[in-house]
Amino acid sequence: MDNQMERETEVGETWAREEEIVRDLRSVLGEKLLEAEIPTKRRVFVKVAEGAHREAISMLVDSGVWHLSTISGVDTGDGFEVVYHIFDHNRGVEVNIKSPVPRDNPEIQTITDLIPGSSIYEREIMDLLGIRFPGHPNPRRVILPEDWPPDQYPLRKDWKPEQLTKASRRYAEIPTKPGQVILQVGPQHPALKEPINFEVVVEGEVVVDFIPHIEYNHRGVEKAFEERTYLQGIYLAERICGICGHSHTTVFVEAVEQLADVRAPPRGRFIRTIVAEMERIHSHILWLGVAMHLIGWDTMLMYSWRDREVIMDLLELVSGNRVNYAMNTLGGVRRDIRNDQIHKIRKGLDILEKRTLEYRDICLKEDTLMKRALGVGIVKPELAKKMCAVGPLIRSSGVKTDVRYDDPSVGCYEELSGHWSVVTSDLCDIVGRVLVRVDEVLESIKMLRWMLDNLPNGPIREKVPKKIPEGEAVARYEAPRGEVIHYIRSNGTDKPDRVKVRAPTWGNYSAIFESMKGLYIADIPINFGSIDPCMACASRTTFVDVSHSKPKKWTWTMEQLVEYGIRWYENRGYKR
Amino acid sequence: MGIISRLVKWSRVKSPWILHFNSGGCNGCDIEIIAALTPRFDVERFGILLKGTPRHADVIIASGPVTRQTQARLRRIYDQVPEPKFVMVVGSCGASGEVFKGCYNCLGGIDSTIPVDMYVPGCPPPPEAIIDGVVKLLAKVGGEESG
Repeated sequence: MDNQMERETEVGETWAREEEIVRDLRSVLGEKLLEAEIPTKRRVFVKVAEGAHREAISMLVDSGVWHLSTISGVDTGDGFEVVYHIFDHNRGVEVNIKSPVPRDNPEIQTITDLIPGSSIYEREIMDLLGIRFPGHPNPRRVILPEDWPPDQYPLRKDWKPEQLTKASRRYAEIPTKPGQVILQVGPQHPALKEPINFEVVVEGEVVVDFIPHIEYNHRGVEKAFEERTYLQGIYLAERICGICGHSHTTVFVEAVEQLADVRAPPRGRFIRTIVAEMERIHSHILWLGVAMHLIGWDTMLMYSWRDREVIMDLLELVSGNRVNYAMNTLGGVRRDIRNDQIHKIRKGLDILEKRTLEYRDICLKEDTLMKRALGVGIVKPELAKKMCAVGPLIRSSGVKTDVRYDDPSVGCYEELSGHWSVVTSDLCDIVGRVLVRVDEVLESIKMLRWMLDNLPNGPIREKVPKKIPEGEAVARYEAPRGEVIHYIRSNGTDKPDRVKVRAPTWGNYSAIFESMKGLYIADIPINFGSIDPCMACASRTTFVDVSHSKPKKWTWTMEQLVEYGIRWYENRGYKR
Repeated sequence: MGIISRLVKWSRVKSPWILHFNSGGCNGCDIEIIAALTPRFDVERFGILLKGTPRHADVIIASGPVTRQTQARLRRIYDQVPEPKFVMVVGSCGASGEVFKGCYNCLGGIDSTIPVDMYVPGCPPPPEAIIDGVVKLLAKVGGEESG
């Protein structure tokens, strides 16, 4: 916390740290640095010459930068542009490095050797814009459906949905050694959440490789943003995710507000943050129940979901809806919080605090959880940093990073700094992730109380013009699952030119799939569940035994896989 | 009507088993469906049980717009449910595509792929509305018994 304060005072209004980064980049790149711009505090946009992006990024990596937020691909009409969004934790600045890519030969050197976590973002751009990354270790399709024709790229401006034809294309065969088995997990799940499919290569009980197929849930939201006005975009952003929808609208409106050079009035920013923290409480308690369900402890699921209704009632009280609150709008929020509502929120928070402390107690003492989860799914801090993990996953590896703390430009987190602390855990395993989330609920309750005590008076929204001036903006926020980032480029009309969305689960995939290797089949559900996957999980599990000359196949549902996991542990003496 | 088939129909109304499938939605409806199963709302009062496999189910509760990749899977799941089967759509995007209408990878509502018996609109519908939908669907199941 002291660190944070220091940074605040040092930076002041001179933006010294931002300028230092630009100076450093200029000293390395020289003539190849074409443009540099500091549009606002904690943001640097630089444009480098073709091919110079690697020099810039390796300079940043050498100076201790490790977090790549995402990579955006933009179609500029006569060419493409690839934007690397890199967060410098030491200086608290998001550096956005833009590199042009020619249209006739769309190729740009990969950065997977500098930042391994960039792999999944580069594959996404390969799919959606058709830009090739020479040197990429695994240039497979990641997000488009299997029957998508190979030469059509939906995010190119000259592409229209009418052009779409069907191609018959199946997944590439996964090479396996004798004795290894491919396990199909997904796409239908009996209890929860969205369709996804994994191909798990196992040797006996042990996972050797983990290949996700996440294209089931691809709807084409980024393209849809381009066809909607900014105001309509808010409602679309809310429906990217039904659990952390408010986080998506928060970053969307904050980015548009940056472009329009409007700042929401203090009361509006407070209410925005109050709803966001309430959303975090509901999401973490929800996750606690689901995770306990995955290890077969349904009592805890029912307990935690019963208490979750307390916060759902409060959200309904404030916003009028249990999910998809529609609180955010350009320039502020849509509804005020009345004093009688504040009174009810305080009462609800008292109940929640009592219950959450009890959960923490239960989780720490209960063998059901400890014997199943202690030391399972280890993500070491080095791996988490290498793979650019975010949210509770990286905090449970002992890395103190939280967008609300590192980059408090959204909502009223600047006012809040000093009134809360970042929760970390050194356990690096699933128990660590449980503890981080439970403690974060307590921190959120603390923050909510402070915000309700200090809620400023005044208007709740500012007027924002319909047409947004040309420019680009990045907004980041700590959603319940981790960093969510929106990159918006405007063209002077009432519709955005490009909206790039990076949800937190997308950032956590690489790290958690790496941690799957070496685990038992029985631990797959809880380990994948431990990142709180936003598009998730699995049901139909097909086992293919390739060790025989005639491959053997059988099918399990996720329920059976969970049951198998519980039984597997019982047979080894872990009693429920 | 034989006594066995009457018994089967009676038990279907008294304890319908459901299968939940999300064909590409935002998760909001799915969480509300689960909320309907947990202590505050508790649809197990009506004998409703969530099952993991389509072969055990009487009712499919579907949510979300149909994406290109899930379409074939949704159809296959529908085919695997034994007759007589019922489909209940929860949420506006399952009914019409709603906010995702026009997205290149969305094909529209659930009824673009499989026949639907009951729509519960809302974004997302609260658990009370889902329970109301289930109860009305049960009336339909019962009505078919006598008819």
